[in-house]
Amino acid sequence: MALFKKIAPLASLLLSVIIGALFIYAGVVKALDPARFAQDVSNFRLLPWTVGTIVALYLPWLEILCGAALIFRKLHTGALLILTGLAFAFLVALSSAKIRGLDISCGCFGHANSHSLTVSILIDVGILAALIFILSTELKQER
Amino acid sequence: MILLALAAIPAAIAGIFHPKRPSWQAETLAPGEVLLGTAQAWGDKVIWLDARSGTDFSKAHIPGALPLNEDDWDGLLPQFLNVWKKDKIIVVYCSSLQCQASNEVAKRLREEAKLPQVYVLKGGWEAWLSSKK
Repeated sequence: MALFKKIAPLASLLLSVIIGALFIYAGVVKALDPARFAQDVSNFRLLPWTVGTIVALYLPWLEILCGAALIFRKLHTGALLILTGLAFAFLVALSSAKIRGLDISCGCFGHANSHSLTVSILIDVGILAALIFILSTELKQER
Repeated sequence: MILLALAAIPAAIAGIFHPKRPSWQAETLAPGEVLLGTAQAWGDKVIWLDARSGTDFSKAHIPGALPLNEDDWDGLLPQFLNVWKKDKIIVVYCSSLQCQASNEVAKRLREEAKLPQVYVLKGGWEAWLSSKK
């Protein structure tokens, strides 16, 4: 337990950098081609086109800023909360697409690597778990 | 809150000036049409069919596409059927939004060859070229 207490902050720091870099990459890839990302959002058939367009323009930049905030430890807790919320929302959207049998790709990291929905869900669960771990470690340290 | 507000600034700029900004109105699709992004997301399941003339095809075509046009239907169809499998999705394209060759080829594949999952690429070859800019 004592060892875990020692390792946890280090692991949290390392994970913050990795997850931050991952979100920056995901954001940049989508920010480069928002039209394509708007189509990806539309493929999920969850939002009206106009709302999907706003999401396609806004979400990549939110990911980039929050990713940078994680790495540079500025507005860190806020970024963690936003990214955890986003990862949870992605999980709901991906699971709903999987349940409805939609034959689409996630578009989460652009189209260089078009994973299946199942792989995308697994990646998202991993990211969500990492974010929750970082968040809980940070909150414990603050107490 | 600061991060949420900050992200709105580049998003608004991208919405006005980005060369690849999305349209504010949904692109309407005719029955049997598909958008390039959707077709690309199908990945290896797609067989691209080029309905333009043989000359246009030999100049340039979507990587992996096969030629199939009405001018040489009987000569080109067997070549395509050798590659076709039941689980494949066929996407036919011609030169632009206005051309009709892809609609004609798709219609013949559906009605004469009785093939399922045949789509026409909206915007055709021009849509493909624009996506590469």
